Amino acid sequence: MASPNVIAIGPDASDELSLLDILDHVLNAGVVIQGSIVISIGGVDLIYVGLNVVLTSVETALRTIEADQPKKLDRKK
Amino acid sequence: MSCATKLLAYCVTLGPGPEIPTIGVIGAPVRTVQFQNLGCVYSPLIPPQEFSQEDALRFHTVLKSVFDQQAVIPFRFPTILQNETDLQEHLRAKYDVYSGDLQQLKDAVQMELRITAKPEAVSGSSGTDYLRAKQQSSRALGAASQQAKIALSDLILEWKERPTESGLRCYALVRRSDIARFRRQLEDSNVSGPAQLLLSGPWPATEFLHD
Repeated sequence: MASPNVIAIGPDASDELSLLDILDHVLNAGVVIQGSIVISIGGVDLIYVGLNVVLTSVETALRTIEADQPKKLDRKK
Repeated sequence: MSCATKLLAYCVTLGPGPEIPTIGVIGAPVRTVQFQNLGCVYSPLIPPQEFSQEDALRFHTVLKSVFDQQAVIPFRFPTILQNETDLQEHLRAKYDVYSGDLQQLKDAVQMELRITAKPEAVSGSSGTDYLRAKQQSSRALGAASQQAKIALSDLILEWKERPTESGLRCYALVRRSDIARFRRQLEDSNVSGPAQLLLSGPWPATEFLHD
């Protein structure tokens, strides 16, 4: 029986949490080339603003999904 | 901003070129460039004023299609280089590091666990109660991490963890062939207490790269 404390999401944007996780990885994980031109989303500062929003959203989402946790678990089965 | 064509870099790969999608970010073609045994997947494009969420997701789609075939070292979105010469120069400068990492990680992927406390675990009617609950919650997160690590010990090649504002973020390096077992063993594990685990992956093993 699956642990009720574990929720699995994947790298396919099948739900909002997965979408946020993907954006978190795309914007946060990987090589940064020093000295290259890095074009921002909405200007340089907004990269970081946007990044924080994404990160916060992922972490906050964890706190708020508990209410519909059974529904999400069912969907993953 | 210049309107000249530049390169959007997706990832570095090892060995013969992977199959790549024909269309990348903002409809640009997807191409590869080789330097010795390294390959780099990129799109020539005229960068827009702003990239959109759709562009970021398209970037992910291209990256994932390559990562599904082999290990990759991804670039963060959006990494833009001036031209193919710059890209070749970057591969030349980083050849030893990239080549070493890709050799080491060629059969591995990264699975991630976000361990957080359930909301009621850190509430309290007074400041003292709150601090006490917070302390207990912190212990519970550490215990949950240990429980998960033990449940997965036969599958973990390497493990890293990092505290976050809301809990712990754990990274497990796992053989590609063990992804399904990893998920199953974690879901079947008896992780208990006031902790909640969000399992995500497989991802490129970016936490285990050397720089």
